[in-house]
Amino acid sequence: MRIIHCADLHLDSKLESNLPTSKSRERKREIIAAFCRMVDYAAENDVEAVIIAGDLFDTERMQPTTRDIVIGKIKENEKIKFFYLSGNHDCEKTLAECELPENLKLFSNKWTEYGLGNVAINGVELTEENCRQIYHALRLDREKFNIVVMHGDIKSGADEHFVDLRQLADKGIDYLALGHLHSFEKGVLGKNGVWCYSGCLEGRGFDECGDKGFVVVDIAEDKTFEIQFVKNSVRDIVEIKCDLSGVSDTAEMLRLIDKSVVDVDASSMLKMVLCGKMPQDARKDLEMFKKHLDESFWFVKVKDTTGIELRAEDYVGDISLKGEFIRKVMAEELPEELKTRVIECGLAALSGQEVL
Amino acid sequence: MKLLKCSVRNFGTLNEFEQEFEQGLTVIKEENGFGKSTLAAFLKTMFYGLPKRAGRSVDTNERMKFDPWQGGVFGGRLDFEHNGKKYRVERTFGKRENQDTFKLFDLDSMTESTDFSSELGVELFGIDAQSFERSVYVPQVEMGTEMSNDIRTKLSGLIESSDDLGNFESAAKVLEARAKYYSYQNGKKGEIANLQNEIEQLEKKLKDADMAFAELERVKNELTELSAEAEELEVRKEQLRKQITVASDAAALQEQANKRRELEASFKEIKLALEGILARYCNEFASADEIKNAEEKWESLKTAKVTLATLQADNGDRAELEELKRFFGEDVPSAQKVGEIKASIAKLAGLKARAEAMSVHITEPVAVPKAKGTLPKLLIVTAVLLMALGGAALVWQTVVGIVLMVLGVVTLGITGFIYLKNMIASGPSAVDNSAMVDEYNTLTAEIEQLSAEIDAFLSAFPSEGTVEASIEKIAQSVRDLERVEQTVSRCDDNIKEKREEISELFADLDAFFKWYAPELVGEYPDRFVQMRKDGDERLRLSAELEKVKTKLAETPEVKELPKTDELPNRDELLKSEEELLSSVDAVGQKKVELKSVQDNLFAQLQLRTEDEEKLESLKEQYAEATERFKVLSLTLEFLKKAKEDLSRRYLEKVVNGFKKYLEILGVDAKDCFVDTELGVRLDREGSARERNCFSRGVKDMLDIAMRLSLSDALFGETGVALILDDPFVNLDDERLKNAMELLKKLGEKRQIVYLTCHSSRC
Repeated sequence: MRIIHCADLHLDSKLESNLPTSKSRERKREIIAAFCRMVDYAAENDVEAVIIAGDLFDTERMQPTTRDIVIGKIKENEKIKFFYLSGNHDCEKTLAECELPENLKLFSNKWTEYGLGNVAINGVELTEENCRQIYHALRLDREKFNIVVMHGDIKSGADEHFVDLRQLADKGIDYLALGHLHSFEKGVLGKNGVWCYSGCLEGRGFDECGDKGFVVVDIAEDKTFEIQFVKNSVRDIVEIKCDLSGVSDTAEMLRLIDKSVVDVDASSMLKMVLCGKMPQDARKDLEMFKKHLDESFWFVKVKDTTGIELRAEDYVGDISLKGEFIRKVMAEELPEELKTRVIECGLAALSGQEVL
Repeated sequence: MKLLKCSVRNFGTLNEFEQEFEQGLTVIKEENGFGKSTLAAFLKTMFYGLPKRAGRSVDTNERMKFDPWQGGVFGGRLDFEHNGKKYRVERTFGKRENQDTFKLFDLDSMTESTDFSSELGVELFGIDAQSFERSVYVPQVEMGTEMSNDIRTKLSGLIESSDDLGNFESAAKVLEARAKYYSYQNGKKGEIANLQNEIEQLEKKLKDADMAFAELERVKNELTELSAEAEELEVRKEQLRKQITVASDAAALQEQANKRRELEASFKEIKLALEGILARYCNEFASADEIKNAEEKWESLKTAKVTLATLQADNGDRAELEELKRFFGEDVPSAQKVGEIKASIAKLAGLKARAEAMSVHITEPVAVPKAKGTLPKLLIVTAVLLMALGGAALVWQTVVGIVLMVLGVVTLGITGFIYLKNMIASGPSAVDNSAMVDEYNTLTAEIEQLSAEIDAFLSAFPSEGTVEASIEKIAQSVRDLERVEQTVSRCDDNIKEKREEISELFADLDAFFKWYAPELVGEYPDRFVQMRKDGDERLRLSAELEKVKTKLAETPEVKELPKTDELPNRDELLKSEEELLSSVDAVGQKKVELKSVQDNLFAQLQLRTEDEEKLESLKEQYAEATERFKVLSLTLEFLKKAKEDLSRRYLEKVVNGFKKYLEILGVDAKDCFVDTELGVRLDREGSARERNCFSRGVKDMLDIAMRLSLSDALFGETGVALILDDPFVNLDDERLKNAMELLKKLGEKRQIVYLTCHSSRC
């Protein structure tokens, strides 16, 4: 039996990447399309069930059209069973108004079990009230392949957002399908079990870099199973660090920047983080860098974390205004980053360059 | 640097003026109008040239101010010594800067030197012309001693290593301007304020959108309630519909039964009527064509009757026949006979005429006309035949008869004409008398015989006066009789024929009616009408009967009606259903309206999400702008501090010199205060007073002391020559004395060019 495990689609959610409105809308459409693409994959690859481990939608932000697309897609694929567990961003009224398809099964704040041949899918939605008791209430038939669906953090978080692996370890869970964290991650649960976060289908911001997609679980008759992460995202979200240490020539900076993005796909959302200690006379034009990258990538954000090559001892005997200025800044109790920016700004002003 | 000699070709009022300078103090005492200030300016100009930027008035434009009054070459030369080398600088000036010339010579080798450029002053002294004026050049007029960039830089002693202190003002300006871009007017304006404003507006908008959220929740709840209500109404509707179905079924069965009854009654009624009609038409119904055929026969019958009546009508022929029969009596002469009589009469007339003529010739023989030839006779016979035929033809064809008759008469006329012609042509024949008598007698006998015959014939008929008229009458009557008899005979034939036709038509019609509608009575047209009417009615009834039969087949017999007493009233149920449907519609309408509101709110929600993203971006921009402003402010602050600290280092030297020179000049300088901009304050009566608070004399001494001090600080006490343009005019005697002693003392160590116009200040 083949099952897909996905989570955290956050359809219609706010995007955290400072995209302009038009691109933000496009990206939201892409995230919806990612769900449809995953269902198409399921239909084409004999997948019997799709487990959505929470946060399919994003609370009240969900648009009726989005819901209709999702429900429509589920209806369209009546042979596939969809098991949808609400996450902390889902809303109980999300699907209240629509007629649910026969093949869409929901969970509640109590353990609910659905049978699928020799596979039992159990799920519970965590709340403040049930988050402590649910572990005791879980009873599984160890003869079956037990999938448990939950939405929460296995490492930390408030009670209702915390999934306690220790209490689940000896329950006979074969596959713990988790949602909440937005990157694919898996680990051992108990003796034979596995816990797994599928991650989201598409990243929404630069805090969600890396491959995004869903997990395909192939379960054999003898309960052995294989897990495969399938990349589903149409667009990569990439953060690239470019070290400009010692570089003062703008052309060289551009060359290094270009070199750093050689392997990045043009459709990507790119965050270019400039770093390193640069000479005092280095002329870096962030706007120019952004425009340069804009020509090659779908969306670009440039973050400058570079510093200046400064050694306090070099300015001890320097009786120039610059020396006096640098000495004074460096002697001040300020955050290092701020000191760097102030010195950079002062030197630019004294040398007639543009400032901030 | 030491001044050696100057040679003024033409410069303002100075013309071909030369002056050698002492190692120490050089006093140039000239009367007013000589051009002392011009000379001082000349010296400065030899080092710096004329200012590149100048005003439009003579006061501010040195090129205009020192343009030689007397014309000629505008310029001169100056010999000086620097670092052991002697140089000569030659400058000439034109109307415009590009006409100016600059040359530097090495006086030792008398060759042109490239040790310095036209920026000679800057390269020699490290200060610009303005700074030169503010330090080593002490004018007669009040010029101020405030700090210039060059002075500050020069004072810091750093000009050789860096010019960054000189860039302080431009850097500070850039930083201030940039900081102002982010925030000014105590943060009320600028990019930060704008962003703040945008954020506040967006936050307010989002707050309003929160209300939309609440409204959306309300709408969703209401929609849920409405959906529940709609479901309940649907349940009730279904129940009602079932009841209505039962009631309707019963009503329908009842209606079916009623209808069946009505149809059956109708069937019977139609069938009866049809049978009644069929009874009147025992054999079969005549077809429309047959009826039409019979009607045509009826029309023919009517026409035949009319024709018969016309034939039977007395048109005078029979009366004429009776009249003619009475005229002729029993014996009707033949036309031939009449013709013969008419010929006899004609012959008689001829005979009589011959006899009469002969009677004359008995004494004289009488010529008797003799008819000759056979043509007349043939013509006569032809005429008679034609007329007879015409008379006969009159009965059949009137026109033909008349034509034949006319032809007969014409032929007869021609015959008479021929006869008379022959008579004339023949003429009297000569006979002998006896023969003539015999002939005459014979003729007479013939005449008598003819007369007797004619008379005998005519006697049977009424006389018409003359024999000719009578015979003509008889001839006409014979012809008329023949014609009328023919006419009457034909008429009788026609009557007979018509009667036979009528009889046949009657027989046909009788047979028709007897076969098709034996029971119908009355006139034939009425019977035709009735037949048609009955035929149409039969067809209609037959069709109607078929319809009813079909309906009967479609309306099965209801064997058992439901007990209607147990069923609700269908009308009431329908009314209830109508009310219920109205409620369902109202709920549906409300749902549609609410969904529209909900869609609108969802759209707002989508915009809200975008606004949130925008707010986040704005906040990021705000944070960045605030950070930048902070960086700019800190940078400016640190730069200012650095500049002040640097300034303090050289200021001490300036202040010490300043105090020293003030003491020499006789001014109490122990409580003086000099700021980094070289602003001077003197403590008088417990408060630090600015330079402008003091008299002109004190101010002049403050300026002189500052110039001297600055010069010392800038170039050392033996550095650059001081050029003093009669600066002691406002000093009282004691201070003037002190000043002069100071000059002499300074002249021991450094070169001083002192210009004055009064011997008291020498």
